[in-house]
Amino acid sequence: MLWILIACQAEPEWGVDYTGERLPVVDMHLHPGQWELIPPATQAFLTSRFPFPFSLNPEGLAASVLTGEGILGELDKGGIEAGMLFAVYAPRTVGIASNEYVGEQLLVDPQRLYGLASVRVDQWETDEETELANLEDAVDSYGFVGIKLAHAHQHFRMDDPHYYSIYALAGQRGLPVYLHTGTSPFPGTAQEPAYTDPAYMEEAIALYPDTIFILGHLGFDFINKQPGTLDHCIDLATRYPNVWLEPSALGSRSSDPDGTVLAGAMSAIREAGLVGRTIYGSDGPQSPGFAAGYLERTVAAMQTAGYSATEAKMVLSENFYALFGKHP
Amino acid sequence: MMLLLATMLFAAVPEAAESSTVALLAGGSPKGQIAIGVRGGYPSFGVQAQVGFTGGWTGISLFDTQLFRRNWVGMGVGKRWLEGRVGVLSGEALLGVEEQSGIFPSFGPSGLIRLKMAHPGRILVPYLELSTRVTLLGQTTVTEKLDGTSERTWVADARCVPSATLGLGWAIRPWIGIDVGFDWMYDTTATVSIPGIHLGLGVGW
Repeated sequence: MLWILIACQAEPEWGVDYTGERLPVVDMHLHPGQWELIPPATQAFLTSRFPFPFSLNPEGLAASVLTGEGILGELDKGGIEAGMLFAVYAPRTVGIASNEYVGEQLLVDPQRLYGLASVRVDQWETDEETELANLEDAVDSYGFVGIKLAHAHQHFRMDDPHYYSIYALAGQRGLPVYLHTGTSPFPGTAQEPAYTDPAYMEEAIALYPDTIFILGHLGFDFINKQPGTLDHCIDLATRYPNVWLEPSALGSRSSDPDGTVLAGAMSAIREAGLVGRTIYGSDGPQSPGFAAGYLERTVAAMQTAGYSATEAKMVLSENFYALFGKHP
Repeated sequence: MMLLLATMLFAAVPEAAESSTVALLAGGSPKGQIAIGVRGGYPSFGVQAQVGFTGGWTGISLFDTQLFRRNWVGMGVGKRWLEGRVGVLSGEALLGVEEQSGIFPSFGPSGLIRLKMAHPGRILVPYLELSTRVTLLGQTTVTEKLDGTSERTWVADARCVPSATLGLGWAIRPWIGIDVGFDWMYDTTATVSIPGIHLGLGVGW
């Protein structure tokens, strides 16, 4: 019992071992949230992924891991020094984590938690100006360092010029834009290529060279558990210096049981010379221990792909700090 | 609670004394003997009462819950199949209902089959329980159409929950004992199951 008490109070061991070196880690993809703001079909989907008996009380589990405090606990388990929390406005698919709610979670530990704001687009024809103003207010009020968009979850095409004002604003304000790419297992997702294939982003990427676009999930096809449009991500990042990559979720135990998918993706990134524009993220917390487990799997994938310690350090923390202008 | 009381009312004068710990952990009570056991831990809590009938049959009533979210109550019978100095093997079959509360409520008739094995030591009683619980459920889907009408469909469904418990009992006195056990319950609606643990207390007369 004494051992348990000591273990609970002990300072986490920061970083991760990589070929004999201790490397600092930042997780750039984390989702805080409120269970009651998630649509029922998605609640059922998430519950099916919780281990038993947590699946009997999913709202209780969500309350314990989806807050800023809960997420810090999950980061501690993996020795992860900092994390990025995403706001989301996707009421018909994954639900809502408002800018205000996420902004308040950042205050739990502003030294370790950073945030990406998001923007409502479901009434864009009439509310564009208001929503852009709300976005700017959120950035100014809570110190968000970028913008999170998910065309597939928010139901707007990647090549629809009506939404380019978001990318323009991001460029003016120096806010990198994180994009969900690839299909998604969540009920209600728009799975067609125009919503999931980053090739449809090319026009916007070319039009807004001052805007950084981070292609999340590397275009992974989460429905068929295939690399999906990884080639398109690599191609865009090779041709456009304002395109960055983020390999979250595709290497999870359910999507990539034997680790070959993530190792293959990390290998493709390295071969294309894009290690310097790749940022680690997990897509946690999902369930207790996921963030720490995904880090282990990513480290294993980088080792398989032949990353040196210097390269691994870039992916795990240095690129994040360089892009977002934050330093520990 | 009514089931528990009903089981106790069937009690008669004991024919032969046997450790209540063995009766509960190995299954089967001698004729006329009553045993009541309580188990508490994570994620399960349960109360079982059993009474020995003639012909080697045992009447059983059981309340079992996981986190007080999934509750099972029912009654049935058990019988020892093999009995010796080294081990006891018994089988139990119960019928009842399962009710789940929370954001995904469900209710349906349920059956439980349980196999119990134990070494009937005078003081220490190592035991293994293997069981399967099958609950019949219905899924109703209401589709609301754009023309204002709605369509209701119902499909039958079943939830199967196999489980195993490995533990050790300590018969402090013939009429009272305790046990500790590790529980593993597989739920077909979840991807992974986390093992549980319980402490038990059993009394008999």
